[in-house]
Amino acid sequence: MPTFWDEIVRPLAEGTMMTLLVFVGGILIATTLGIAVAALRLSKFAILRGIAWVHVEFFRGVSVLVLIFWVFFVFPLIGITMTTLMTAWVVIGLNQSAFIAEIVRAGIQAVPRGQVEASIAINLSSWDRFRNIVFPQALPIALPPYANQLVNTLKETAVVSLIGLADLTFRGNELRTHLGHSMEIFVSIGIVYLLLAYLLTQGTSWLERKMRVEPKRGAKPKQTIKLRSFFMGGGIK
Amino acid sequence: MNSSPFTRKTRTAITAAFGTVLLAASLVSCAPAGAPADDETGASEPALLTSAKENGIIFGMTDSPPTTLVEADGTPGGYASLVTMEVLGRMGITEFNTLVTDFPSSISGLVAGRSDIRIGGLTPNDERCPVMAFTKPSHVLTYSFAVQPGNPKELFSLEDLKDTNSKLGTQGATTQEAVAIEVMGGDENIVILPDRQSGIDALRTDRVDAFVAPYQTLVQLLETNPGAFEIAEGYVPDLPILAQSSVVTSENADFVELYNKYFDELVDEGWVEELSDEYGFDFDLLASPDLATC
Repeated sequence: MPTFWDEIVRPLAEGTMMTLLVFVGGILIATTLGIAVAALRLSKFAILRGIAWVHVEFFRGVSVLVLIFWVFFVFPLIGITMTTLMTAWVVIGLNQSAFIAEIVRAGIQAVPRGQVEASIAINLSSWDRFRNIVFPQALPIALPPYANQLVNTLKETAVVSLIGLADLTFRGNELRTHLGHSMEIFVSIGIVYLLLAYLLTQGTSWLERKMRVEPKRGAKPKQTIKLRSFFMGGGIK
Repeated sequence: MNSSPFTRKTRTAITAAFGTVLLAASLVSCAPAGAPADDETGASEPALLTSAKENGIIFGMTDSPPTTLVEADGTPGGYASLVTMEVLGRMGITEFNTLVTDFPSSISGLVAGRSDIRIGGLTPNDERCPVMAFTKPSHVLTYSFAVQPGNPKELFSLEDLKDTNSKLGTQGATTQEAVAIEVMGGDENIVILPDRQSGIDALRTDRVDAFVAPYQTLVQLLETNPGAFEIAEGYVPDLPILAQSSVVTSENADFVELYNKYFDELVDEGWVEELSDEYGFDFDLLASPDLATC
């Protein structure tokens, strides 16, 4: 006799694990690719900027639903076949990379121009300039919209249910097909998505607090101390 | 003095391209020959069967109890799955996997090679026959309406829906959708739904006035949605009875020939009739002359 655990909880738990697997793989690809595309967008070479622009416009403009059907059902007809999970990672990674690229680019461009010019004036290499000056200031700027994008990505993973990947949405649909009770099942999976999104936002809020550049009232954060001591004395270590 | 119209770089590129084409041509011509012709080695096993014995076979299906479903342990279940697995088991295939999607995607999945055989029920028609090879039908579907309790609008046929300007819910890319469009004079009052449970939910929330589905499916849905709807009396007269076959792509027609041979064995043994009775399908309808074929 199947129990509540076997019939309801275990399938939903397995679906949740699959959703997390798709999310983690997708966001890793999206973040890596997004940073690379952002760098290309800021390149001094027009052709590289053009390639990045095409990538951003295309993957921002095409619906992820169309993309996943395209990759899963059409690509095999031209000889490109990926497993269902790889399809999910690639599609979500490519789609989200466009948004993340723009977030990273905006963060980098929000760093005051004077900071960059000053670092050029003291003869810092491009890499040192990026690592020690631009990136530490761009990261706290980019983090809030990046956190939003993480939540969007989590919700977007639901499209993988349409290609037969047994994520939370797929399992929920399966349960309601076999058991009815649509309202209870949809409410349950809604709560699970909400909890996962909440955990994500809490994690990124913690990161934002750690990355804070502006001093708290009466406190001096480490980043400003490092920057101040750098410019007022000490030089490059 | 060099009088060529091409620069050195251009000549190098052209030479490299020509060399690549030559290399590709030589590789293709040296490639091993394909499988020997039948008249050389005797009757050869269908390619799909060989592949399925080695790697297992993937069922493309929808989650539509009682015809097809996936059990809790991931194995295929439901009437059509059991029939197909029995036949394929006799053909020597022991590993069965599933790809569960909605109805239109199950056909796309077969064409794209994501599944090897689409089970559970496709009806032969003019669009499908040229690109797919149909097995002998395993069961016949008769359709009924799910309606509000008490059937307040007295909906028993598609003509009734047309006369009362009522909305019909149906799954997309199906024969019943095509017939409904024809009888109701357009698709303005037809609501496409992704699956059968959604049909009941749409009925419950007054998004549709009737939902058309196989009678056996509605019986199963009544168990999981008690009191939510009732099954209108009788079958929908405007809809034909529909033979439900499994399909493979047309290049695997030899596989279907072998499949049908083993299926006939099961019919002769009475196995198919017994299972049909258990699942509530009318076995005698398989012999009906009204069934559409390719």
